[in-house]
Amino acid sequence: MATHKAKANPTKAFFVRMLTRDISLDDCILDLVDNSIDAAWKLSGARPTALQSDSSLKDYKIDITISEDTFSVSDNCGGISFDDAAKYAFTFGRRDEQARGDYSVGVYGIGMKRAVFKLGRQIRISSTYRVDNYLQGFFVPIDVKRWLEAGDEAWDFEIEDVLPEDEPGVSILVTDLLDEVKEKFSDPTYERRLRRMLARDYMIPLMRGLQINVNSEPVSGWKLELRQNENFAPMRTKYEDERVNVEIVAGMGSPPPDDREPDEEKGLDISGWYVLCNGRIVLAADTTALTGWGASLPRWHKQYSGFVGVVFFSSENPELLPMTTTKRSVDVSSRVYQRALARMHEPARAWINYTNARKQNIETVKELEKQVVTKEVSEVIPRAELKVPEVARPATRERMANVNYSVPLNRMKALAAGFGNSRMSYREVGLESFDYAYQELADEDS
Amino acid sequence: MSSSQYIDFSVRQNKAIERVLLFDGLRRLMHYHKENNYVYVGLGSVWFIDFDMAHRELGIETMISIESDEVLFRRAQFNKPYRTIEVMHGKSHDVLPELIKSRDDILSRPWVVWLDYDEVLNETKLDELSALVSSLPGNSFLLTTFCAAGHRYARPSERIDRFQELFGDAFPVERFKAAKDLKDEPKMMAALGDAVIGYLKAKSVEIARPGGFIPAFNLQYQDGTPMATTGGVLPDVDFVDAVRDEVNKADWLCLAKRPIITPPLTAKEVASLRSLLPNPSLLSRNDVRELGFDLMEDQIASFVEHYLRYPSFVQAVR
Ligand SMILES: Nc1ncnc2c1ncn2[C@@H]1O[C@H](COP(=O)(O)OP(=O)(O)O)[C@@H](O)[C@H]1O
Ligand SMILES: [Mg+2]
Repeated sequence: MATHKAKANPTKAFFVRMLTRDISLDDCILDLVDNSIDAAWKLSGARPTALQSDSSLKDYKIDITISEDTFSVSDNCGGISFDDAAKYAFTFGRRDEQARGDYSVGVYGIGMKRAVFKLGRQIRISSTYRVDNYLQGFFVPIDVKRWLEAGDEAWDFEIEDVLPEDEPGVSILVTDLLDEVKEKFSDPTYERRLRRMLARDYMIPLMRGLQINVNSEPVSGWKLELRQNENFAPMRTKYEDERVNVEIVAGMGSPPPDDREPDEEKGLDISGWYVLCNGRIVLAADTTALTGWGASLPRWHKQYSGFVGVVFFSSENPELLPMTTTKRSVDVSSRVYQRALARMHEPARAWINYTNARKQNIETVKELEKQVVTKEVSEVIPRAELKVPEVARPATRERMANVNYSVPLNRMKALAAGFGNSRMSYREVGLESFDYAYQELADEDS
Repeated sequence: MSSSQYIDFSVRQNKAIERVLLFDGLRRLMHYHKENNYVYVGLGSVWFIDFDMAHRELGIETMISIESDEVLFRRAQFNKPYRTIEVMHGKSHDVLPELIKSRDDILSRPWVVWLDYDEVLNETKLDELSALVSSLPGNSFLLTTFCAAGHRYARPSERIDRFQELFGDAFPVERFKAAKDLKDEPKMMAALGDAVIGYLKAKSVEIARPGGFIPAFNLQYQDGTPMATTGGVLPDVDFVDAVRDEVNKADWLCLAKRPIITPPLTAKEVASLRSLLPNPSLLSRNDVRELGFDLMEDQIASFVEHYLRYPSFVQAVR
């Protein structure tokens, strides 16, 4: 019998059109920033292995610019060497012989290529790198349309010489942006959203001194803070699991909410779990089954708001980390992650129980929740368990009346301001105004 | 909507200048579609000044004015200057969606909607604007005027929070890093104008409106209280390039960089200032003193910029 062969070569179109479908524009931009940060950790010698705050990345800077017709990102984090460019950096997928074991987040060797294809059709990737004591430069121009037209035999990109910049680093410029990218970049809120996303997802490198600018405006890192006093204390533990370091911190980010109406919720709720892999947030404020809510724990309910937990995975070999290829979620099939999940449940349970008990005696717990000091997660003192107070049920048999009514939002806000605090919850405004009217009209003592 | 009760129109010179700029801008953009039979929707109060201009200067016939106050509604019906003005009773955020739902006769035509509030923006008004971004017919114009005085929104310590609550990421927080920035009135006016522009733009992107929203109007003025007028075009896809080119021209004056802050001037002062204009060099305070009176530098600059639009009504004797 004659053997025939079925053609299985990849096509360029697969990489340009298909691979870019499953990832959002935001995550592509983050992929480029990840590369810069990987390079910064490497060059600085510092490692993203612990929640800590210092200045080990203070010399590194990433500048992002977005406008309706161009995108660029440039860094001073060491650059790509000519050899690496020729052998690995532009390959679709990591070659086995490429060095690993560097506490990076890059694993699959696809991020940069996928990102630039997602953005536009004219690409220029330049690098300045150090050879002994002097700097050299090159750039790789990619004209996507022409590259596609050249057929599926010719995959290589040209590397051209260019004068080096002042500092070693990579600079990526994309023009001829895709229509949907143009549209996004034309929205003035996008730039601020991007800054906020960077502030959160790169909280760790920013905490350690890295500078990121978007259109020349610096991104200031998010501060994740937990509250404590004599009644409350966050937990913090650390362990190693199959060459992955795991650190878990959890506690009260803010007091649980009073009964707030859904439309009262201000801005974004920071409650939930934050999962980090080698210093990069892959899941933020998560309250889904990915972190156990609605799976082994009850479904998330706004009653639980205020709970904040951080799980920090780090490893020399990023392949061992429980993150997906888009770095936007956890890989729940990872055994390391499953075992961490079991431990994450303990503080979550304690919090659930506390917020249940709390409902019975709101007035007392409000006192207990007062006079807290806030601590950044990096400063939390190790402690095996989350500490919350025991709450006893108050002894009253007085019959109560419940009140529920609607008023125009404007008038609600004006009255809150009139009471001296425009951030009062609707409920508090209701109670205050009842007390106010009661004193005027019904109080026997007056 | 109830400005008629407390404002003496005769001295709102900067409002008058703003109106002239606005209608010049509208005329320029509307000339691309001469055949279009526009509909004007506004809050005409009992004065109908903008309606008068819409009819005289833009040739619009179908006009709708919305008035919520019972008494003013009756007075508006009495005062409406043209037969083709229809006065509707209610709040604009209730009346407009009804109109859009029920009036097939005007939905096939582009609208010019100018919601000229004298009040601060709030959630209800932004909802109203955002509903218009998604529902107005193609090639419509959407404009709004609102109070841009920071203190009318919240006390200083809560002001930025309030703006972020109201506008979300459309508010340019990064411009307000220092406490003194809050007190910078022109800065605040500009930021609020930009916030509304950003809000409308973001809405159009969010709903993927074909043709999108193109900012075309962003003016601030002050006759006492700081005010801002912002808006733009909701063009059909084939009108986008023309609008972009027009508003990017150097002589497009409706995306202004400085607020309009001319002082109220007597007819005699206006006449003597005009006698020095046009002038290739800027008028200085000394030049004005030489004329025999005095004005602040920024007032002079604003007058020089707008002297041809400065209204020539006579100051009423009280
Ligand atoms: N900003 C940068 N600085 C230094 N090296 C970079 C930079 N961007 C990309 N590289 C190099 O290019 C390679 C390929 O990047 P990428 O396609 O994102 O895959 P991965 O990050 O998974 O390796 C990286 O491994 C790195 O060696
Ligand atoms: Mg990468």
